[in-house]
Amino acid sequence: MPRLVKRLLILIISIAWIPIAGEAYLRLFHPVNILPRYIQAGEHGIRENVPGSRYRHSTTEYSVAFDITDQGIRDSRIFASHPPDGTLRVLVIGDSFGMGYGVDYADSVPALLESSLSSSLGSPVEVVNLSVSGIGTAEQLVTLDHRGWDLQPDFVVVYWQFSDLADNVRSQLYRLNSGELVRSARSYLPAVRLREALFHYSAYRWLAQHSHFYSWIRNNAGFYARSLLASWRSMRDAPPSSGPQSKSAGYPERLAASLLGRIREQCVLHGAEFIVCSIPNRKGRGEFIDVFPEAAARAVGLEFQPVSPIACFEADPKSLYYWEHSAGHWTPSGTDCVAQALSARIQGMLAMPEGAAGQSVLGEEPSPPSAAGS
Amino acid sequence: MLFNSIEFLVFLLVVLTCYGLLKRRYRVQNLLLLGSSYVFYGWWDVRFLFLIALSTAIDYLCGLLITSGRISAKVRMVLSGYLLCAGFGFLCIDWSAINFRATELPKLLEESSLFAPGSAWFLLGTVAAVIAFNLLASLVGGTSEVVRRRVALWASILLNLGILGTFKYYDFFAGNLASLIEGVTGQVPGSFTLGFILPVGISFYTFQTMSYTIDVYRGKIPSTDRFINFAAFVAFFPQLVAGPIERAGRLLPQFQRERPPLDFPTLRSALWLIAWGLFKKLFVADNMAVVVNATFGPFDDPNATFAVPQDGLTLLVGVYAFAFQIYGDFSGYTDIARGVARLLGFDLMLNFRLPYFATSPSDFWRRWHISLSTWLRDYVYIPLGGNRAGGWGTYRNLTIVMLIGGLWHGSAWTFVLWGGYHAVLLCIYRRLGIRTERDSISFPRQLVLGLVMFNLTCLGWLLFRASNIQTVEVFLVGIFTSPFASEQTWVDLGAVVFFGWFLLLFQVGQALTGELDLMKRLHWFVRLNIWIYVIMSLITFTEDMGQEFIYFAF
Repeated sequence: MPRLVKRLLILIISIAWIPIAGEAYLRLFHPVNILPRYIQAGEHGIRENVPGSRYRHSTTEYSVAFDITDQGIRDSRIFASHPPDGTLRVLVIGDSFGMGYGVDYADSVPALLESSLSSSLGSPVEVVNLSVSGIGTAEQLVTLDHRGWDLQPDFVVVYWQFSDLADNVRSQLYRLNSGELVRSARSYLPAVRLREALFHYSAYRWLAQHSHFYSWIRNNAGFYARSLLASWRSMRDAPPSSGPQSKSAGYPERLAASLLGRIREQCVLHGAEFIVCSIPNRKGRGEFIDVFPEAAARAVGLEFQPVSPIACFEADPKSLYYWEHSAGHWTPSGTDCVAQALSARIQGMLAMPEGAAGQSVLGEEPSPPSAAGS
Repeated sequence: MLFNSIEFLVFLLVVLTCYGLLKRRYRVQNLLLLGSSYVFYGWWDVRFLFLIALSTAIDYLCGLLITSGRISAKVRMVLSGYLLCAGFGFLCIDWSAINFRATELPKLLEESSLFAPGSAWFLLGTVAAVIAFNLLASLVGGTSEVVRRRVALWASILLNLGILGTFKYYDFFAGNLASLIEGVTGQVPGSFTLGFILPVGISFYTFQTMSYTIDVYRGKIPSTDRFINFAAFVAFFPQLVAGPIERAGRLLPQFQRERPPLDFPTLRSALWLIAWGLFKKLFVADNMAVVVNATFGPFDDPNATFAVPQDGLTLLVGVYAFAFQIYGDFSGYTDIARGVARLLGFDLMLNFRLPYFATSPSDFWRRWHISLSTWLRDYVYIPLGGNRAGGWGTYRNLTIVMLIGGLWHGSAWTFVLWGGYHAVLLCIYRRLGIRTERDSISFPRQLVLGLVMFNLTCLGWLLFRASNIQTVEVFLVGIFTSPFASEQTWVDLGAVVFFGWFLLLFQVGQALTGELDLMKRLHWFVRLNIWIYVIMSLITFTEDMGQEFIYFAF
């Protein structure tokens, strides 16, 4: 065999072998979390779950199945536009925490919240989960505008976490213009078209579902691409800081607070109660920090009282509330604490004598929403 | 600048590009290497570049004085100009206060903070040094050959050791003297210490430049009158801060001729050395450091309780982990240095030859930090009389050399103790006449002797790593009186096996084949898989790439 042909063959075999050996290495020494995202471009220019998709998340700590309904919701039911009479409807909008990454459907916050509220109130409750992995506050606002109000919720629970700060800036769906929140882009679909194109191929779907090497490359590439994009857009979009306001709160914080303020305004208009659920950052096992940007909210004239599970977490610091090696999502103990905290807040709001939320639930005429929980 | 940093990667790419553009013009390449070596070192602290400049000037001058005696006006001007530029550039300018943004550059000279505090004194000191150099050249140059050669030699030795002693050992001895005075008189004396920062790599380049003057004196090599070549040899960045300590007879000629062009086999071997060195450092050493720090950490605090733990085996595993850590750290640095030098067309000496496969203490020192042990052999042990000094004379010489070797590593009693311990091992093996040459003993005996020597080496590492004598005591009592395992023992042992198995396996392959460049002998498919394992390990298990090399501190 000529020397050149032999070298060419070696090169081709080597290139083909690298992913195989890489896969073997990762499976043996460094198993990767396989957390495929089945998302697509929604009608309104943002990401949504692929309707009817079924997939599995596998890590060294858990293996969890996801069944998405034709409405793009992790559930087994199809929700009517009007809640059944006498049924309290709670809308949950969040990211992967909201989707219930890391836990079976029965252990997810929406399922536990529904069960807790039903048994406490003694009346039917529906928790509708419009969460989509990866979305930030800006996309939550768009989701609520275009899908949420059609479902006529009595309560809207919005998840907040630290990564939303960067996500909101990166998405460019909204920006602050002289302190005013304005829509600046019609759509934000990061790599969704590419993903959709790739997901047409069954071989690719198989890789995404089973390959450690593929997941490893995708996770790293995604992480670095997101970091670069966020820092670039942050530099480009952030107005020059001036005055004491900018010292107390950065642009991403003020943008996030303004977006939450807009969601609350929408809730007032639609007669729903608004709740922010703040996802704490974990410093170590048994040590948690609330990262909700309260200072920024005050800086833009808003005040929120987010629901936080930290008290429940700290009550039993030996329990495991976040998976330690699986992208840091909640364990069943974690979701249980969050559901308890949300349930307590909703029940508290319903029990308020001057509050009108309870009346509207019973199908009587809507009254102006209270400021409680806001 | 650390080898395991993004800054170094960018730096190396820039240097290699410029170096490649200057092919066949080796003197300009040397100038580039000198400048880039100063940037490399100055990245840590510009001020201490002056010490390198001073050592360079001392040995360049002394080398010329030894061979020719007459220092030309041109050489004097070059040396004076170099020292004045070094004093001004490295000591008088406050580089940390300068803003390098283009818009700020015009303001540079207007800034009153451009100059470091005390810069006038530094400049005055530099001028004094220039005058002293010229006086030395004039006075010594006019004496007889014997006097001139001796004075030049001792001037080099005393000045180099003076710099080293001041910056590395003064505070140690001053502190101990104060303790001694307090112990004898009961009075607390005033503080004698100066609180100097230890300049990175000072022990390495000091020994390297001294070897030049001594070899010139001994007539082994001629002196060089090409100042740039010599300065680049002293400051050559791949081996400047952690060795290997090169000999002028080996490295300097490589600066005095055109380097061979970079061909594919050289590129492949250089990249493998760099990758293997990074693997040893980032994957093996830095991950072993987690176990080591968890085991030794509680005792590093002088106010620790020093209670003996119940699980003595955890302490033993911690010591084994340190054996892997220090080997991976130091030999990893050497491999990267050799790989980088090879990319530039230089061949640096081997510094480690499978040291944990040694069967006796003398075998160990022929394999561990070879550049230091041969330096000590050639410039201390043999001049003292070596083996020819008779029974007790040999033991005395061994002890002196090993104590110096221990002290070379650091100014602490634990290092002296470590050197003394190795001296005792050398003497005992010599006294017992244990023969360990490969050809004269069977394989099982080699294995047993190797295991014994490895454990004796680890005992030495305990002395080396311990921050104080109490820690050594706690570890020894724990290991020998409470040899029990806990859950932590198995976790630590798992980590040691996980991060050490491939290094060990590869070295077993090297030992069995007798081929240090094992990759050359392997089938391409095996090589490919080794490359994949090494690269994947580097990416997946090295989140923090910023840890310093241990030997920087020496």
